[in-house]
Amino acid sequence: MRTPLIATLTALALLAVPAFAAEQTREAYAAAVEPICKSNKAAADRLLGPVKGLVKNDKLKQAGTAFSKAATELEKTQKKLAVVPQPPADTAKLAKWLTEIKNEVALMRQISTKFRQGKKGPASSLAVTLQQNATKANNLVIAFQFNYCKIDPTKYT
Amino acid sequence: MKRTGAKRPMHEPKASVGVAKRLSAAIVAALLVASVSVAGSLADTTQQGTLRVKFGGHLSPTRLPRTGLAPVAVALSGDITTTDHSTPPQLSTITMAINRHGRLNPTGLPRCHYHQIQPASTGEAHAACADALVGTGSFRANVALPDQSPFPSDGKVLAFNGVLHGHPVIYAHIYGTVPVPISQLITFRIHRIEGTYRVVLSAQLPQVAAEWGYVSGLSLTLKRTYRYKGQPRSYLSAGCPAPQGINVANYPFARASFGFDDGRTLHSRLTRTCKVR
Repeated sequence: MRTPLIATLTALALLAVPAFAAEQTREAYAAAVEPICKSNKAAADRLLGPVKGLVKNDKLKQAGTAFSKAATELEKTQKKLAVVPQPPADTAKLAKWLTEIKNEVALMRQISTKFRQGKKGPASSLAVTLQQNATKANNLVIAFQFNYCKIDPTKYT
Repeated sequence: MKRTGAKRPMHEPKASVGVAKRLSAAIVAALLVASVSVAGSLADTTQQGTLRVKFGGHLSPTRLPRTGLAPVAVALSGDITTTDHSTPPQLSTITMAINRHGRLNPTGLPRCHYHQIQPASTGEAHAACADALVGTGSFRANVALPDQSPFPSDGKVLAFNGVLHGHPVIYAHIYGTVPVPISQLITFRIHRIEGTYRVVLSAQLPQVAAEWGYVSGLSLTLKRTYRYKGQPRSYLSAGCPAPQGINVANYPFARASFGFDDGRTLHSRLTRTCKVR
């Protein structure tokens, strides 16, 4: 009789450990995702930094390529962020945030296409939407007090 | 912190002096927040610990010339809250910088002097310095009284063009009547820096005890057009210098810092959109 009891307690203990280990806090989540966003920011600075100058000089194809590459980088980042364990109370909010980041990727690809087509005006209109979308995304995660994970496309657009 | 002579009750209980101080502290903090928040359709919210500051507002009109400047109005709004509903710390400093494509020019505008509007009710201040008025607004605050729950208070804000020690300033006159009539004047120094944000407005708030009250919200709109030497002028003007072929553009509108008496400083940047007319 003793053996089954010990086995049961051991099994319960083993079950309990992962349950506690999965309890992610906001601070721990922020600490886990900020380095991911930091490397994306470095890539975005490198790729999108020259975009304003390119557009002013009508080098729209290069601007389009830069947006396309930056979109690919952001997509990779979004996938990395999606696998980080989330605080249980914030899963719905973070799901929306990750969706908004996906929307940013889609918008950047659309901007890239417009630039490649030589359509400066529609591209700039999409850049406005990109900014508004970024503000929406940022407002979802205010409580995490992000630094690098706060989206700020203004300096590129 | 001064009381207005015109509204002073004849037989005022001593306790109301403390109330006046509390209200004044809250009003001062509210005004500072108002001056810093400049924004557009979507507010920008920043948080440190449990302290949260939300900025909102807009520039109008949004349709502006590609070259040159046009008269504009800047509407500002702000909220200070805490996520755990505790009393926020007192605001001690406020700094706001506006994009270099916006211009603040008081040339030819009449000036208001400190002694003309302090102490004074809103009506008295307006009557004394109507020609120097550059903006209006309102504030909301929660005043904390001993052994009572904080209660809401609100009042009007008037912004006047002024000069202090030879430099241009904005005198922000704030006036509330609940629980007692109180007026306060905050001086925003105007100076210029290099970079994206060029016009800087900064003010230092008097240190007050945190238990006196806290700001819950505010709004302020800066706008003034006038004539000088026969020419139309505007206190605030702006353009939308988008490259040729682009008729709508994002731009960094303003940057703000809020310093609190517990050592925390919250920073915010506001992005807005302009259209070429």
